[in-house]
Amino acid sequence: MDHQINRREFLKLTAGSAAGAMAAMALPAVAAPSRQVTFNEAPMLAEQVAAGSLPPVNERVPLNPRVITPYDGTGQYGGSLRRGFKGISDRWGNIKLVEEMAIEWESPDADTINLAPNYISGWTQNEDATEYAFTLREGLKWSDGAPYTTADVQFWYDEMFLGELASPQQQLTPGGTLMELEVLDELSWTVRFAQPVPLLTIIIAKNTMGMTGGPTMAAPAHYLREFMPQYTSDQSRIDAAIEANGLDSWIELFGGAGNLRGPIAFFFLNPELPMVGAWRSANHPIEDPYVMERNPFYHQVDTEGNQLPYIDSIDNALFADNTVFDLWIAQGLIDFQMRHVGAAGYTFYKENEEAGNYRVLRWRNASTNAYHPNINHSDPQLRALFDDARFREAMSISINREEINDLVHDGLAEPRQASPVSGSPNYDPEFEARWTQYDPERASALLDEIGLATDGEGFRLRPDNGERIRFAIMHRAQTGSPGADEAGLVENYWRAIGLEVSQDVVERSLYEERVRSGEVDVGVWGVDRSSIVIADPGRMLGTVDDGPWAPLYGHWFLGEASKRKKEEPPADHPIREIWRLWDLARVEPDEGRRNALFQQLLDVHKAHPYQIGTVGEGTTVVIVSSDMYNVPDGFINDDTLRSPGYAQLAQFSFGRQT
Amino acid sequence: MLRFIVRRAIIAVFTMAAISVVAFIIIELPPGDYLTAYAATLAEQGDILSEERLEQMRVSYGLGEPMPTRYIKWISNVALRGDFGRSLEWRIPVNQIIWHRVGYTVLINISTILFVWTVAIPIGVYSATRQYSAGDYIATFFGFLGLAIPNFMLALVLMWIGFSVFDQHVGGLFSPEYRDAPWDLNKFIDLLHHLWIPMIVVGTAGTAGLIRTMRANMLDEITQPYVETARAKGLAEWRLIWKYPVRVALNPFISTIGYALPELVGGVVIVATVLNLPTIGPILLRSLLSQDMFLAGAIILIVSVLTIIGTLISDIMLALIDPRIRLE
Repeated sequence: MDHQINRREFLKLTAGSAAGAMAAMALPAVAAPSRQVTFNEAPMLAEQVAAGSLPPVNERVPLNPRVITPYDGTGQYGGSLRRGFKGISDRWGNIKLVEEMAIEWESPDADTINLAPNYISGWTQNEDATEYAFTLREGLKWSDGAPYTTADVQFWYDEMFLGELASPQQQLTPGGTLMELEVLDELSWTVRFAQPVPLLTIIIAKNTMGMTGGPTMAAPAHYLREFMPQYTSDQSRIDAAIEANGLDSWIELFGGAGNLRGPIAFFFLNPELPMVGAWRSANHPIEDPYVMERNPFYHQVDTEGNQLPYIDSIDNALFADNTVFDLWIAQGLIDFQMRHVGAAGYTFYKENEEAGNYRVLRWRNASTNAYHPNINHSDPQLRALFDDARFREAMSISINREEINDLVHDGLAEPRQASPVSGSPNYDPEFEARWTQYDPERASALLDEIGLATDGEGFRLRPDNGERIRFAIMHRAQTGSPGADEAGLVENYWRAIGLEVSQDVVERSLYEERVRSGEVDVGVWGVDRSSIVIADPGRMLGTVDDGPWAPLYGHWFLGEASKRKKEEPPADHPIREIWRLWDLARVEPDEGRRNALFQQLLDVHKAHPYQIGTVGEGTTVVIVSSDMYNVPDGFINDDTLRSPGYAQLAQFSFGRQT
Repeated sequence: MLRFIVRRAIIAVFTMAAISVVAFIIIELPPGDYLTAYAATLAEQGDILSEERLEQMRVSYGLGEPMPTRYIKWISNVALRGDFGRSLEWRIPVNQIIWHRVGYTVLINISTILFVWTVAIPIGVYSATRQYSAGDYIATFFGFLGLAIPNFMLALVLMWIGFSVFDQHVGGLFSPEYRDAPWDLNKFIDLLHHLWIPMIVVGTAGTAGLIRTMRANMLDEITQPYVETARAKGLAEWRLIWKYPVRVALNPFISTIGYALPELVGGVVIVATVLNLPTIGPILLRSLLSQDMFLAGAIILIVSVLTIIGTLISDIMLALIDPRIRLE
């Protein structure tokens, strides 16, 4: 049931009522009489079925499983996918491999991104996007074989949304009113909101809105209840778990309110936790290798009726230093890796492709390197200059982006403005090119126009006190890294137009402290989340303060939710327009109007970019063993898409059927 | 002797207490705490932690309390129950993280010391007895070279040679196929295949230093009257050298036993990280970067204790071996 839509049409589909209609229409197609179909399974599971330790595959897979079309063709079962990880703190690499949401991104090719129902058979929403109905696939199972029903949804709602373990997510409490849940029967339920939440489907696809690693708005009640004193049949088990983990209370087993990543509730730390992902923990990540093995009850099948995943297990080898890891790749010890491989090593990876029996794929990084002049600067003169579009334009067009790309990034990135990435529904070539033409003469003319005088050495002078315009680029890049080389070039470009610029290289925590209090001249941070921008527009609203173009305004906009230093922007400031448009778009149920509103928001930035981008859409290197199939090339690397998760990892395979 | 040991043990306790306070304060010095570091890491991965959630976590981790309170809580658990607390980053008890790495740390430590001694002592003796000979110059040349090359660079070069010339699995102590396997002869051989790189890398600088020390001490000793006397009495030259002046010249080898361990954990953090060794060093580095103060504090404390014990042992051994040292 893959709906092929190009990215323009996607806009219409993502979050509006059309999406609900689409899913609803799709329902009968999925619910085809699969009872007669016999599914196939992996040999290792067939053995267990023969031995009687596992029920037959037709009892493990839902009646109407999600059907995945493999990218290259039907894969062969078996094999262990070898990758590297940096230990227990490096959890996201594995989460993104196994994460399951009710609604997921799906890309039949590199330029199309759809939403598809995953372990649910479909969803509908009402006209004004205040009510959503979901239906589970019949016969869906947790990885321990227990049925997954609406009781698990109710449990999550009672305990993890309302109860002691709760810290209700902001997106599910629009206007401060909690989402309401109504369970209709064993398979279906509805949720209601006090205000329209038209972006709910996108929110789910990005954030799970439930346990870390999924599923969405549900938790394995039959298992987790055993660790809650009010339900447990065996208090000593709770006590033992608390003792073994050196904790003080049962709540901490779950990770504490709002943070369900404790030793019981987080699949990464608890091999016993039932989940719905394609692979589950087989041991603890403190061990080397940390292994994940196939979930015998996984709900997806391929077009031939083979239960997924194809690959038996994932082996995470522990490493501490990237040099060693690069050598492992060259030696062919790694089958699939996106994390921890940098574009800086591109030549080395290519050189060793043959020796290491792998291919280097190039995915597009949805981030653009950017310099953020702080329009909330405590120095009124610098604030005035940074908030002057002409000054920012001079800063932007005095940067030679081609040179940066060639000298620092081996030509692997693209000179561009900080704007939505190509392949995104919000992609706009005009925005991408805005203020990127290298033109130092025009830059000087702009500075003249502002009325900045020059001293004997060609430095521009402040109108207020006649001193040179001095400011610092604050960044965290270590000497010799691409980030530091780039900052060095930018420093020189700006000095060339008479700005006395220096670099302020700081450690990460100090950077954080400074941007939070607004004490930064120009901060350097990548503008990411630029694929499905509407899913997470914090960079455009100024609320994500690590890209500090308006940190204090951003905090102010967050209101109660932020305890950081705030400042109210003047009534006529363009950021007001950005926020006004967001507040409208956020609750607009009509997808056409919503997208138009959001486009207007982006156009405010396009008119006079606040985040000065240099190069972006850099190469995200993906290492793939030559023995592997169904791994697509040219996809986008962006957190919003849960990359590499949206490439349907369950259909990755070693070898394929011919 | 007993009095000496008791006295030193009492001093050691106070030293440890002082170290624990200093360690705790130093770990706390950088701006922010574990949670700001954690939020920053998440942000880098494109994940935003709301301030509200950060506050909740701060409370549940006990990070909101004043520093002296946290210190007293921590140290009393350590001293009374051997409980080093929970690692903030790893979310499991510190004890589970470090002890299984201590074994490999000690293994590499001991093999390195053996390597250093087997290389440094004969060369030092040779250099001293054949002073200004070609062999002495060659040994001196390579000694200084070893001292001058940064360890991590030597590690990278050796790994590259292992990779490009021998096509050997590099980094870590085991090949992937043996990492999980039970101990047998093959696994042991695999370990030896990997062990030589850290042994040489970690040992080189120490070897170079000790060659020079050994040479200097020997040069002092071999002109002493007791050597002349022994020679006059007709003792075979090699026997004379090894039995008398060498024994005296060994003093610095023994007195540095105590420093060998902190050197391996702290001094070669970069090397251990580069070489992907399953030792405590890389863990210490990570925990300091992420401001995981319970883990970092535990490691610093344990290493300090081992250093103090090591120093005590070397003092006792010196008293036994070197006839010139007498306890008051």
